[in-house]
Amino acid sequence: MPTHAAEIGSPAVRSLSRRSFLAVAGISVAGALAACSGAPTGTKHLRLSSWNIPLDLETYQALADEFVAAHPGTSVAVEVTTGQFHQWFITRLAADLAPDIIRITPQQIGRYAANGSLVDLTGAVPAEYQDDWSEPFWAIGAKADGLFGVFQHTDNFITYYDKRVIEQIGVDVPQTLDEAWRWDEFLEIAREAQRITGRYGFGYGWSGPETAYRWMPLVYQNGGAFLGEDGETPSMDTDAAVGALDFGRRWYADGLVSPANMSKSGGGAVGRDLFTTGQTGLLLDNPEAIAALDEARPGEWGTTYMIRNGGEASDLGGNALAVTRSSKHPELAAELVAFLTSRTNVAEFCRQGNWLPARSSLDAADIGYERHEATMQQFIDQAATIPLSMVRAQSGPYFSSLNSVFADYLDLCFLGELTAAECGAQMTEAMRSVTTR
Amino acid sequence: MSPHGETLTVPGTPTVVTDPGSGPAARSTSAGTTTRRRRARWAPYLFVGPAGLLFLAFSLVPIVIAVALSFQDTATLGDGAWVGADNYRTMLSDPLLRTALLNTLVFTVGTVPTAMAIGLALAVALNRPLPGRGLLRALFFVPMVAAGVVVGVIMSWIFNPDYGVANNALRAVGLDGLPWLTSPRTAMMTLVLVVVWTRIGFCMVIYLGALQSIPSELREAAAIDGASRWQRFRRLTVPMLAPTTSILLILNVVFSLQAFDVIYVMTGGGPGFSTTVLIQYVFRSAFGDARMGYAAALGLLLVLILLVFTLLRQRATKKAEELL
Amino acid sequence: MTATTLRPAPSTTPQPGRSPRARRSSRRRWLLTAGLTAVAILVVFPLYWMIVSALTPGGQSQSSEFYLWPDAPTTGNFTEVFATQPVWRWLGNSFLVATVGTALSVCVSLGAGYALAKYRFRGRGLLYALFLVTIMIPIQVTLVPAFLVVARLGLVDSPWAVILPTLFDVVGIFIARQFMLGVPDALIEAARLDGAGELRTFFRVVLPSCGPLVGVLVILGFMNRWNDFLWPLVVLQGNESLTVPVGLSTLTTNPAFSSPWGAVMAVATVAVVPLLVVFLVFQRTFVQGIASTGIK
Repeated sequence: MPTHAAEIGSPAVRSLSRRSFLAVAGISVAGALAACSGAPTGTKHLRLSSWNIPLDLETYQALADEFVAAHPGTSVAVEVTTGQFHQWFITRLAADLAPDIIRITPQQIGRYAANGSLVDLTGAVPAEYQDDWSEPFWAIGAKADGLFGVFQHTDNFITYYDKRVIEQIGVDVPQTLDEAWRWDEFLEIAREAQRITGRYGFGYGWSGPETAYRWMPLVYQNGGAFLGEDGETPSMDTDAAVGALDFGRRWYADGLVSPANMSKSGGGAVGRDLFTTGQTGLLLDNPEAIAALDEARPGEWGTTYMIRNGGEASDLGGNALAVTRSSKHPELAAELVAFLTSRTNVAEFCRQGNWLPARSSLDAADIGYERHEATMQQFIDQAATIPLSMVRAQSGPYFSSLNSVFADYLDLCFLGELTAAECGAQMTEAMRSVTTR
Repeated sequence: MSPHGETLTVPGTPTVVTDPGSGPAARSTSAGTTTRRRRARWAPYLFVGPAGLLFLAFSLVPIVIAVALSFQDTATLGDGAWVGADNYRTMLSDPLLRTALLNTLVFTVGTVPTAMAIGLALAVALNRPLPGRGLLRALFFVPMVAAGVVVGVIMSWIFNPDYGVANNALRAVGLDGLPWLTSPRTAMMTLVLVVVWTRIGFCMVIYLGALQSIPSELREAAAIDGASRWQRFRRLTVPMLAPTTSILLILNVVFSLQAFDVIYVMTGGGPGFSTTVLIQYVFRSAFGDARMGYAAALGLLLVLILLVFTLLRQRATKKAEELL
Repeated sequence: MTATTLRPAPSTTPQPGRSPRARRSSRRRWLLTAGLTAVAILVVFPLYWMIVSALTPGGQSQSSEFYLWPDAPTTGNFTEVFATQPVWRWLGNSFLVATVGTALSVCVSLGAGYALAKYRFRGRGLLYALFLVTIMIPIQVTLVPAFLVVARLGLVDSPWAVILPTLFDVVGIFIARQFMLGVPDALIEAARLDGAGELRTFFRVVLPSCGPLVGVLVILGFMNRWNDFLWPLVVLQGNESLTVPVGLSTLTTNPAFSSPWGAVMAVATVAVVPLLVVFLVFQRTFVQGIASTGIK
């Protein structure tokens, strides 16, 4: 210690601090110069920001390189978006430094489409595109005052099952969407599954508080709706919605689902982890689970359609591509969005990343998935059950706030702190305070 | 807090002057009383200049903008509309804010004294000549090197009730697992546990530093006078540490009120609203709801709470000094 | 107490425990050591567990069996995440930001601490009070305004955007001031009588006695910068330019995709271990430094 002190006090330190001061000054000047000469003269540079999924980043870059090759004098860089999306994006937008093109979920897009943060793509995107998108999928980007994004790829929930468990129960697995397990049937099977695993019956594919909306299809399966016909009026207090909440409450009250497997609880994909380790017999989840299941339990699992009740519905997963108002070259950026969402490129993107196409004309065979083609086709078929009204609700201007409210009250209901009716009433009230803000 | 800094050196007892090199000039630690006259006027500004400029650019300007924001409605991005004190009025009738304040109180009261008490106990124990003392000190400090995000990720993994190692261990010895973060009744307790874990090292090191500067003659004198170990701790160590305690208290309260990452990653404020604290609500208002104005007002409320706490604390210290 | 802060030489203070009295109760000492060791193991366990989880193949880490070491440890999680993510770049960026930021901020804190402790000048009290109030302001509130400032300065996406705004470090200034209060005025006065100028006095006389202070500022500063999260999150862009904690966050709370936990644990380990090593090497210096800074 004393030697250390002596060193610090030596003349070497003095010269060091002087030198470091000069270094700072030098670097600052260099930084300022770099900032001035940031954009190479003449080249139109675009930045595309995607979630940090290595395969997707590669595909985006490869496709963008094709685009650049066809458009001399342009360049495209693929960047990554962090998890705290709104924090990052709002801050970036405020300083006019958001990426030109953003990969954004349907649940996130509404606010930015409504408040002028995204560029209207009408005209830049070929008119015939709309014909190849289902009405709900097109509605994600298409709002009353313009087209603010093109849905690129989707995913949704189907039912994964443990082959051994289903054999022991001795139940037939639904082969068509119509045959999908009804709620009562499913609960019976789940009880049997729980008996066999000795732990839980099934799991649900949430992964954090932002994904609370993944449970919303259950409301629509029971004939309810999150927002009413006008797409604005909170309607979680209807009989149908309350019935759905009551159904969800029973999952936990009967011990069929682990209390750790709830939207707000952290720790990643809990439902998936429980399934891969044999602690549940069934799993309602999206295609991401496939990779994990292939690794942990190859050949031991199968899939069937999402559960249903009076109505059918599944989760609205996937991403749209949108152009932000920070873009210095919005026309070029819009052109890139159109290029990335061409039929060929959507197919290529989905094949590489194991995603489902947003375009209706593509089926599993067209895309040529390397593995599990039948399961992927099931997902593609299931995508047709995503209701338009749910899409409108989730891609509306207030959804980010409404999703928090949904998460809060879903939690309270499933934990048994509120009855389904109380939850429906209080959630609707809290939603109203958001929509009338 | 500022005059607090001044008081830090005040309560030292004159009996402690052991350094022969310190003349009368040294005892007058208040700045520059003897040297002022010969000093160049520009000098202090040169030394404090860089900090001042950085403060101006990256703290003061943003804070002024934030204060201005708190009087605006910025529900949509871009230009906010001036709404006077509306955001402050909204607070009065915001039920979630009440919940958040209550949770903040519970969280702060749960974390701060616990972390400080454990830190003090460890510091006292490790100030003795124990075998392996250096290693032990290092081990207790280890949790502090992990970033909040990392702590959140590790801890939600450890406390998963189904396959986390905490419950696996409890079950292995024949006990029932606990619900940890998944029940409104235990989630806050678990968070407090985790945050205390991250803090004890810091508290320990600061206390240890303070203990080492208590001259051993004092303690030995007390020991010769026949004071028991506990008496010595109570009558000598604790009062000598009072200024340290005072700083640690304020720092810990600041840390607790601003603890965001760990809670965000581990519970997202749930289950239900059971771990929604004020800073969580500020974040949610600012970015989840895109209500920058309201968030700024909430943030300023937090600052106000801290300021009031600091001032109260300071008055209490002053009182205690007068009594002594 | 005033006097002990004057000379940063705690190592010369006789250790209290060397007295014969302490030697007599050696059995109690061992008992205490055993107890403390048990607690220490519990305290270190979460980080041990992070490393174990990173070495455990998928499957076992989610099982409900109790184990302390994986049946078949593997470095697969590391090789995979290092192959698919620019982890080395993240580490390099963190290192750059932390070292340059720490070096500069220590200079800033030393200067400010010296001025606030040893000069009497107009606005000193107000300035110090304002400095201290800033640590009470939650970053969530000033994030957007601060970013606007940085953007106006044209710094976004360069390491300077991370470094510059964090150079002003209130805790550092506070510690520096506390320490400088203990530097004898007589020392400074003597230098001045010898005809040394203001800068010369600072560099020749004051700075040499600040060794332990610099040690503490460096360790605390490096740690805070290495772990800084929210600010780098908004100012950095491009996977190649992220720091480790921000890189980690692109793998975790991501609404479109959940990364495998093995990968997350591996990156978490990579984020913690370098700091752990640095700290274990310097911990003695650190504790002694704290002792002499006069934070009390």
